Amino acid sequence: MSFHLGKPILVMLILSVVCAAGLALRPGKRDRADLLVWVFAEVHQKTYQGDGKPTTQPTLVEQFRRRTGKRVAIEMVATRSEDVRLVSMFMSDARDVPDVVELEISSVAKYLRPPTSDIGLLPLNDFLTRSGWMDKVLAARFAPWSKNGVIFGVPHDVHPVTLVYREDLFREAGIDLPAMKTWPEFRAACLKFQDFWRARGVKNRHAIELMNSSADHLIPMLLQRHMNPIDGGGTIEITKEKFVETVAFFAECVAGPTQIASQSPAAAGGLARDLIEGNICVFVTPDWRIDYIKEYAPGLAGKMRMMPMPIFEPGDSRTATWGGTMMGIPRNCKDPEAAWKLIEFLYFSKEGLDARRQYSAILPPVITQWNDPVYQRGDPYFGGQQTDLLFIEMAKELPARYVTPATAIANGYLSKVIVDAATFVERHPGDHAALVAQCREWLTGIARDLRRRIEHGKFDE
Amino acid sequence: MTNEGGRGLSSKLWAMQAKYAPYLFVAPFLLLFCAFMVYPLLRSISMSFYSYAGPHTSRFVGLGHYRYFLGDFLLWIAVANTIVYAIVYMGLQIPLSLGLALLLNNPRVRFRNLFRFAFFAPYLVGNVFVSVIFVLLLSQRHGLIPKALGFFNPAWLEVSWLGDPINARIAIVVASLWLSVGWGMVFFLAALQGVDRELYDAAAVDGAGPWSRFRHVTLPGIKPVMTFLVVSGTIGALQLFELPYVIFLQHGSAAGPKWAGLTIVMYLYQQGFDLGDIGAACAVGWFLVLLILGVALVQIRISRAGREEES
Repeated sequence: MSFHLGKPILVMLILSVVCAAGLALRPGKRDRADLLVWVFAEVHQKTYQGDGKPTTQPTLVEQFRRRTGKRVAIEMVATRSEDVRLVSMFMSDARDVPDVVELEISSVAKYLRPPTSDIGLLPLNDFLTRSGWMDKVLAARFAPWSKNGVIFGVPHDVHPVTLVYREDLFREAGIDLPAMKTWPEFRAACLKFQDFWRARGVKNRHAIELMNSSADHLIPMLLQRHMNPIDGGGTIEITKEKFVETVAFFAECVAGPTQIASQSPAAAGGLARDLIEGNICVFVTPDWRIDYIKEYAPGLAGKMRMMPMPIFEPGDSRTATWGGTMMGIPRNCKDPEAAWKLIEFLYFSKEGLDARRQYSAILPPVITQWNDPVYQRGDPYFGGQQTDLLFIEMAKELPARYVTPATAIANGYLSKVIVDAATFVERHPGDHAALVAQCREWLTGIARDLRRRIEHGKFDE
Repeated sequence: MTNEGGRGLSSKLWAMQAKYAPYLFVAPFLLLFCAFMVYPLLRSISMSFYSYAGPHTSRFVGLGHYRYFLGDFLLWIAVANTIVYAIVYMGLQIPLSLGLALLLNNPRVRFRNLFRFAFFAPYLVGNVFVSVIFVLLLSQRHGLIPKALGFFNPAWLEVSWLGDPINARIAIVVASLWLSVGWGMVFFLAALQGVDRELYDAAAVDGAGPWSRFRHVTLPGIKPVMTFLVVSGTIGALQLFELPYVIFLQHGSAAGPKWAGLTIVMYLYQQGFDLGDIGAACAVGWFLVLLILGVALVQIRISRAGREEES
C-alpha cells in the first residue's frame, strides 16, 4: 500500500507517533527529595552537601536525614537564573517551588515589593520567636530581609568589613597603618606610602583598592556613617550633608592629586595578583573575601595584616557590611515546619557551624556561637593575628544595611556621580569646596528622580 | 454488493484523509505557535497596561507605563546607547565581513579554509563566552591588551577599559565585531561565489578595473545578501543584552560605568527582574518591538528604492 503524501511524510508520521508513545509511557518523574534547597554560592553548596571528597563526618544534609528521616536535595542555581525563576514562580503563584531558597542581598528587594500579605516568602517571625533564635541572632542582620517588621529571611552571615593590607610593604615604607584612626589620616599615610615607592621607581603601586566606576566601595564608607542611600523607611538619605561630604572625599581618593586608589579587576584573579605584585596594597575586605585571598595568594602568608576601617568622626562605626545571604521558605512550600527545621540545622546548629568553618571564614550571625574556641585562634596567614576575633569585634558595631527596590537604581546613580566627581577632581584639583557644591547639586537632582521612581513602583499595603 | 460497499467506504476514508491530513500535519505547529507565541504576545499587550507586584497584587495603569518611560531619561540613555551601538557596529561589521570575504575568496590566498574557519569560530562560542574572554583580555594591568599597550607606554597598563564610559563602549563594539565578523563573512562568501563569472569577464573585456568590477559587478551581485545582513544585524544590535551584561556585571554594575552598557533590553530586564514589575517590562518590550519594526521598515524601503533606481 502506498501512502499518497509520500514516504518521507509517512516516516515523519510514524516517528511522531513513536515519540508521542514514548513520552506518554515514560517512567514517572524521579522521586523528589523531601526538601529541595536552592543555593547560589558554591561555598554554601559545599558546606551543606560536602565537596565530594571522602570525610570522616557525614555531610550536613546526611546528618539531617538521619535525624529527621527527611531527604534533602541541594540544587545550585546561579544568582541571575534564580532571580528569573523565582520571580516567575512567585508571580504565577506556582505550587511546585523549592522548599527553601537562599537569596543574595542585591536580589532580595524585588521580592519584598508586594504588600506583605502577597510576598512569595513565608513570614518567619513566629518560627524565630518560638525557637528562641530571634534574640540570639544579631538584630541588625534582619534588616535587609524584613518589611514593616515582618521577617522573610534568616541571615546566613554578618559580613563585617575590615581592611587587609601588605604589612611588609608598609613597614618598609616606615608607615604604621593601624595607627591611622581617621580616613583623612589614612589618606595622608597612603600618599606618603605611594611617594616612598615612587621615589624608588615603583610607579604603579597604589595604596588601596577603591572602585572608581561603581559604588561598591563607597557604600561601606556611607554605612560607617550610618547612612544608606535609601533607609528602611524609604527615606532618601543622599542629600544629607554627611553623604555629600563622603562622596566628595571618596572622589578625591580615586582621582586627582590626592589619589590613593586604583581598582582591581574582578576577573583573572585580579585582586590576588594585585596583592602579590604589590600593585594595590590595602583591600576593603569582608569575611567572605578572606578565603579568596588565601586561596589565590598563598605566598603572602605572614605578610598580611588586618585592621578596622578608619572613621570620619566620632560616632561612626569602624566597620560596615558588604554582601549577605538569607534563607527563606517560599509561601507555597508544602512542609514549612520541616523546612524551618532544616534552616535551623544548617544555619544555627553546632554541626552547621563546623561545616561552615571547614569551607569558609564567614562569621555566623548567631551571637552565642562567637564564643566558640574556633574563633579564638591566631591566623598564621595574618602573622598570628586573631582575625576572627577582630571580625567579631567589628560585628558588634555593625551598622544596619537596608535594601529597597530603588536601592539598585540609587547605586547606579552613585556610580555615575563617582565617575563625574572624579572627572571634576581631575579638572579642578584641590578645589574641595567646589567639589562638595557640585556633588550636592548632583545628589539633589538624583534624590528628586529617585522620589519619582519610588512613587511609580509603590504598592500600598 | 458487499465488495462495492467496502470499496465505497475505503475510498471515502481515503478522500477524508486526503482532505484533512494537511490540517493534521500543520496542527502541531499551529498549536505550539499559538500557545507559545500568539498567546504570550497578546497577553503581554494586556499586561503592559498593569503594574504587578505579586501574584494577587496588580493595578491597572492604562498607558501609565508608556507615559512614565517616555519621560524616563534612563530609557533614553538606553535607546541612545543601543542606536549608537547599532550604527557603529553595522558600519564596521559589513565592510569588515565583506573585506574578509573578498580576501578569502581569492584563490591566491593559501589555507583559505583554515582562515575561514578561524574567523567564523568566535561565532560558534556565543556571547557569554566572548564576554568572559574580553573581560580577561581587557582586565586592568593583567589583561593581554593593557599588557601589550603597556609595553609601549607604561601608563597604558593602568587604562581602565571597563571602568571608563568611552572605553567601555569601544570594548562592547570590538567584542561584538570579534564575535560576528566571521558570521557575516560566511554569507558574503556564499554570495560572492554566486556572482556570474561571465560578468567579470565581460567587464574586463570592457576595460573595467578592479574597483569598477567591484562596484558594478560584485556589489549588485551580493546586494540581496547585504540587505539581509544589514536588516538582521540591525535587529540583533537593537536587542543587545548578554555582551554588556556579562562584561559589566563582573565590574560592579550590569549597566556599566555611567550606564555605558545600558541597552533597551537590559532596561527591560531591570524592570522585570531587578525591580520586579513584569507589566512595566512588557511595556518596554512593546516599545522595542515598535522601534525595531520602524528601523526594519526604513531599511527595507531604502533597499527597495535602491533596487528600483537600478532597474
